[in-house]
Amino acid sequence: MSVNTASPPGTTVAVPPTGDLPERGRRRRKRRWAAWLFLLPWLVGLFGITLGPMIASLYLSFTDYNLLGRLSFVGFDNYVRMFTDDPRFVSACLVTLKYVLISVPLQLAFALALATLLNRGLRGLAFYRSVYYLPSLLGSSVAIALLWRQIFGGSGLVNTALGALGLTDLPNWIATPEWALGTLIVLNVWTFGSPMIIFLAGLRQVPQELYDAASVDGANAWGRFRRITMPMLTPVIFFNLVLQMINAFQAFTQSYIISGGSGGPVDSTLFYTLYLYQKAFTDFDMGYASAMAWFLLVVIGLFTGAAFFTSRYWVHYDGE
Amino acid sequence: MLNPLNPNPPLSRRSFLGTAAAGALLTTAGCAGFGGGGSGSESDGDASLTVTWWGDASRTELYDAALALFEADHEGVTTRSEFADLGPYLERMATAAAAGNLADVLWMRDTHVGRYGAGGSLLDLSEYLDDVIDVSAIGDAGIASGTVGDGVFALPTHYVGQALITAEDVLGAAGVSGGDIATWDDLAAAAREAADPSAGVFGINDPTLDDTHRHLEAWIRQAGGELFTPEGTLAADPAAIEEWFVFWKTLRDEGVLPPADSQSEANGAGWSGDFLVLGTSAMRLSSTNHFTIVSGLTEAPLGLFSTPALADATDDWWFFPPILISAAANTDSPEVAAALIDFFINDAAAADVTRLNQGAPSSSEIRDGLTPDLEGAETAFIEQISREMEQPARPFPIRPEGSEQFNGALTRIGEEIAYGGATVSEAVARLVSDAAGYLTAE
Amino acid sequence: MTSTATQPAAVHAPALRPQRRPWRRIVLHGIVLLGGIAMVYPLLWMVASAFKPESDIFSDPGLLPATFTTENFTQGWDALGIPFSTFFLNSFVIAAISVLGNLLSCSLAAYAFARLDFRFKKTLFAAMLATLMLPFHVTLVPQYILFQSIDWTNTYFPLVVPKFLAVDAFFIFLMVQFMRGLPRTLDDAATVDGCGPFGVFWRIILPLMRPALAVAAIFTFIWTWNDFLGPLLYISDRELYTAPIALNAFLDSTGASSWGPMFAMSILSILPLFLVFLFAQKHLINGIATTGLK
Repeated sequence: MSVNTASPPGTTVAVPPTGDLPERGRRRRKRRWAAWLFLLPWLVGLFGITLGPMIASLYLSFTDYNLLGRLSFVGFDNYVRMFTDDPRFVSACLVTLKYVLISVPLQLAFALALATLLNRGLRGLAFYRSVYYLPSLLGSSVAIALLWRQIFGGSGLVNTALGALGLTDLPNWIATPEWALGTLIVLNVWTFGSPMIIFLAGLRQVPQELYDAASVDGANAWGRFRRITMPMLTPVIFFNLVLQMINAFQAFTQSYIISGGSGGPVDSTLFYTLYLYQKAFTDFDMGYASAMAWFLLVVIGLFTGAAFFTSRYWVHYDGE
Repeated sequence: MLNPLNPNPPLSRRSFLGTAAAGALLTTAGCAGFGGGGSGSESDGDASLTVTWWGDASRTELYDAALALFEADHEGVTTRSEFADLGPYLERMATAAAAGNLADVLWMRDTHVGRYGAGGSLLDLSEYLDDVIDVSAIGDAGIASGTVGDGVFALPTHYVGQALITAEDVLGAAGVSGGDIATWDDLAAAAREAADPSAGVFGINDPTLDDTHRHLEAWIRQAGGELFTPEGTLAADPAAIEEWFVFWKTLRDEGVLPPADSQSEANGAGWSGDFLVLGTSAMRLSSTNHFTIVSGLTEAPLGLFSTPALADATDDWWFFPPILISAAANTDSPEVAAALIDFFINDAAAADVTRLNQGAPSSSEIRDGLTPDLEGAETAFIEQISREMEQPARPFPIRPEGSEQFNGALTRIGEEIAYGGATVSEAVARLVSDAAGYLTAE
Repeated sequence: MTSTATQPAAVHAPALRPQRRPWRRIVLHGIVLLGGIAMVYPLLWMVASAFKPESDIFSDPGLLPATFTTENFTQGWDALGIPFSTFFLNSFVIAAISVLGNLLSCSLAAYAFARLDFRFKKTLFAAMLATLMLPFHVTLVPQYILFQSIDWTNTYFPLVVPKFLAVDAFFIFLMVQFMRGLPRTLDDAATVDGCGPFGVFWRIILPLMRPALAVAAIFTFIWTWNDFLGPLLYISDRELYTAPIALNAFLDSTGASSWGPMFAMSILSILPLFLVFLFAQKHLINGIATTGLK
């Protein structure tokens, strides 16, 4: 990505910074004090609501806890068991990793493409935007499970369509271990509405002047997209990348409703969090589930950290 | 250019404050949801009970009506009912139990009573038996089904048996009748006769992909074994489990069973997508009470028969999974809770309302009292299960902690075998060795 | 309100005229429309199913019901003995209050992270992100115990109070990213003109953040409206049920579910979301591209 557009023409619109330095220093100090006021609600929430349960779960990860009273400290046993004595844990890791690596880029590409398309001067834009967002309204409705069966089942819509093209020997997509995860990836891509909306909002923040100036310079549509839109959008792209990655690592609902909570067939859709859920609420092994949760936190943290590390090379903040 | 001190910023403050005001208004609009906490305070003699069960709105309508009868009989007692579908119900129950905040009276799964009973979440009903709760009509077997260790932590309100449901027209076309099926070999033969893969008709649904495995338990008891030991470890002979899976694998390989993917898709579609309902399968193994559900979904003639037996089956293998009711250890009104449990087990007026919604009433008196009013599929169900309950039945050990996990593992190895991912002996060997890890004697 | 992005450009730059070639527009419309159909087909199937008799839902896959009935709606509306309007109203109240809470608390925190200096900034920012990374299933029970200990079960407090305390880090991070993209020169200018941090936040940043605030409002509303687990755990009184809890009442995984009424009420439940989206997206597109920096 080109970084040399860091100061596109037209951004230095406001009054150039003036004022003497001592004045600014006083403001800095005042701001520092003000920062805590701005953070106050969040800090109350963090210490009052969020942090306690998090620390509790960290403690539980070192215990054998069955939810109903039995609780004994077991050190690192849960963590050791995960890697040495649990093939389902390993398979859940692999399923989740595959899901993250395929569905996140696909979903983001779709979302970005559609957002760019729908940001253009197309008549009936509001209508299209709503239509593309519709699937994301469904949330975790059980209706999705039935829908997906109608589409990807043995005699579902997809196979009917492919059959009409003369193809035979079609798999039962939703109930074949090799394909079931694929249908969940499609489901995730299908609900690309959320990142799309965020992209759209990002596109609306790109100052019109930049385009005007570029047009005067004779840039074509692709040139404008590459030189103005993309760099200006990088903070939002970064946000979507990080958040969709976190979401994908924690994917739960899709498999929970479509496989009925089992992660089947043959654990082919057993997401990490679904297995964690089974451990916690079916097997009553909350200690183990907590250990899984904290391991996942570390993994997501590493991925997110990596994203932040690379961001300095490709994410451009106009305000900084 | 933007003037930073523009008196009319683009996001009008009015609209922002307007939203705020609207929100505040909604808050004060007398929303009950912002009242005080829901703890049931009680003054002498008065009690307020929370009662909860799994199921849908139609079940709730019946049970709310029954609760109204209880309130009418007990001055000063008020009840509040909660319900959810089974999955969410179990999750909520686990969370509430961890917080010591279980509903006063709650319906309990037979698969969970061992864990919740041993975990100290449930009220020991022993001291209320006979005095408050009349157990004469449910018998010792009824008490045993909720006994964990030394305490009675649940009692059965209903029983569901397991049975064979047949599509008599599909079977008849092949010259067989469900009434002729006494043994598993008979079942296999009939399924082979009825199956017509070219027409998309299967001999019988594949039970190994179901999420409960009570017919396997029947198979094991017929062979003289048990699934679990009284101490809570695995008792089943691995060879018997293997034979069960080999029996079904053979039929599957012959095309008598639906292919794994079709069966698994159908299982996810609920009863409306069941092969028996759709007329593409001749038989299915089911809970006995499912007969009323299937009958409501198809016009085709159906038959209800006992679970087939091994040729050399023990004669006292019969067992009836109970639908249990418990009281919470954290209840403020144990006496009233016990009275309510008695009410759901023994009250004829309540049974007149709730009827067979959860299965066959556990009390023989209630069952006999209801029978004349029943018709059609309900009569068939109650007669079938009553007949079987006359059979000798040796007690069976309560399902221990870890039985839910074992149940899930059974489904999973069923899938692995059906999809061809593992051989029967591999899969069963893994099942048994894994089970040693979580089915541990206390 | 359409074509705000390209039209001024076209006016300023005759060189761009070729873009007006009609066939391009037609192709573009075609692609978008085709995609749109693929997006909504499953929903159309749902709508169709809602108007079919229960027995036809799975046997008649067509989009036009062979037998048309509105019985699912009438039956579903009163299935819980309380009209569904109560549940919709409850969901609406919770969602509306949550929107307010999230907009206020998250934008405040985001401003601090994006624009102000303070000690432990990096640590706190990392902590904020970390709260997003822990699967909620393991904090569910401790959190339940927490809210139960202050007697908040069977009230809406556990559902809405956290929203005023910026517990949803998603929105903080979202707003931080948008704020960091805003030119800092504007803040500086305002500061020179005598604005304190709060003045900058209120007069400069918030107005320019309208698209991001619209996104946060839309998402908060939809996610809160669809939330199942929270109300399931905390709400017991039937009069306080939210729409998703009420929808669950049509399901019986141990018996036969009532799919017809479930579809009918699901569609009614999506309708308000759709309306909210339509309303809010107006603010989404009126970003600074059309107002602020001109």
